[in-house]
Amino acid sequence: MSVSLTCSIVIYNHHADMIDKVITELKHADIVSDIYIIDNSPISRFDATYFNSNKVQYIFNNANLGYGKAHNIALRKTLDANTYHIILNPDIEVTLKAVLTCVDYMNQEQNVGLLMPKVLYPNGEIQYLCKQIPTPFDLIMRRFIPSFLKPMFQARLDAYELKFKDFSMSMEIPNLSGCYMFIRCEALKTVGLFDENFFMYLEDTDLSRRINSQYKTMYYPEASIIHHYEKGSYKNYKLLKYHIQSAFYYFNKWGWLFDPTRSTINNLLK
Amino acid sequence: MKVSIITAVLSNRKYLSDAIESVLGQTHADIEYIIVDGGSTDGTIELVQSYGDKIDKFISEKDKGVYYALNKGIAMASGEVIALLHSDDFYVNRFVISQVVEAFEQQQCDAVYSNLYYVSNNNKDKIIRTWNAGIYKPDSFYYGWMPPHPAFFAKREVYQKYGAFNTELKFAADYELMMRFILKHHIHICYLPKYFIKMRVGGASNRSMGNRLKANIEDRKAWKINQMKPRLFTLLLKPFSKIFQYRFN
Repeated sequence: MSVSLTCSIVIYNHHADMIDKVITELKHADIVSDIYIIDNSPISRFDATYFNSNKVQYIFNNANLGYGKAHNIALRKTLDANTYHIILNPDIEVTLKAVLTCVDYMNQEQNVGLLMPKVLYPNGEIQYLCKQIPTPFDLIMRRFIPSFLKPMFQARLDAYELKFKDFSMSMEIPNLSGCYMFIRCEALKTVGLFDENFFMYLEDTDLSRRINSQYKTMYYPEASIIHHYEKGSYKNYKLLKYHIQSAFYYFNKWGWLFDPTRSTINNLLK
Repeated sequence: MKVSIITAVLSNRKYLSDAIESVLGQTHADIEYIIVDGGSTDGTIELVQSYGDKIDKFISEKDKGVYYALNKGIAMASGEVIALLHSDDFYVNRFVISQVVEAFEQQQCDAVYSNLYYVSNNNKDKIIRTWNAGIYKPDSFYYGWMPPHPAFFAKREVYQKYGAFNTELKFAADYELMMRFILKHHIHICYLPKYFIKMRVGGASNRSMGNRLKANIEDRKAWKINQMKPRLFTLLLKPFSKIFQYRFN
């Protein structure tokens, strides 16, 4: 079976050497045909020649289009002729071996539309990025409840991050993180690309749910990657604003309190 | 695992090709596709014939309605699992049957059911509402629940054991069959919370108040046939229970 693979990274004022670190193994791999670097920064600091690879395509938007819309630029170019696509954050470290493990699994399991590997902190600790489908309460609680009250809600927080699950096993998860999305391109052709009404945040939850409604969305721990988790919106008020805007749009789209699919799927996760 | 997919059709050339294409595109290798025509006059027969032997079994003769046709199809089927796809409906992607088969292989079940989308008559990409079937509980039927019929995949042996559609009923034969299998005979059903089917709006039972009333009378009959009693509110809830399963977009 011949497969082709592309990936895209959306950057905003990131340095070229940091990006080069993400793609350093991928740009030499035969299986990877194109690497799209989509730049949302106000000024362009480098170009494709920096990376010494004819696979790298650098696209400077000259405007901050938002996360999903920027990835969609790459997806529209690659979707038709391509088997798999990886949505990558600029703060990821990924080995070729991890990518090939994902490819093998997706070749074998044709019903899987989206895969997320095991995601680790640089110190080797696991990141809990397999989540339930959020309710408004989950998002508010995670962000706004002061730390001295957290213990009261710890059980609920842990349930939201599915901490009771065995993370050494693969499992189907409806809400997978956007830091590394390994996507079957055909699935995107049926469920659509990122919803461009999300500027930043929750576009991954939205896409993950849409793929999950028709395909399997799997957590697959045989492959693992490292994520330098930024959690930007906890430090920066502008990012917090985007997060809140996205949350409003998300719940208007899927339902605030009344979302029957959410309650069914979350119940089945228990 | 061999799956028999049955489509009953009467003069529906316009939409039938979507159903056929979505079946022929399925990735699951072992599929038997059966089309039962009720004597169409609008070119439906020619359309089916144009697919040649890709359609495994095809018959065309006058019959007394859709459930007669489906029963004929079920009698002809040789697969382990039976899927019914109406001529207006189609599968959302190529991996529907393989996901259903995977569910049958991984869990012990007699039937698998899932959700469906209602799409616009003119634009099949436009989702008008969704039907989220939800998890089955022992008293679900008493609250007016039923799984979406086109998204109900049952083993052929269940049909052999408990019978096919009751053709005394015009509208509610699907309701009666699922009630008979699930509530009366307690077959083991598994829920796959995916949207596998797109159904064009305008079902036979919901078009007008008059039809809704006829359907209500038939729903009552469905309980009677199975010698079971609905609760006082069951049949009142039935059309409404759909509202809670729906989401309007």
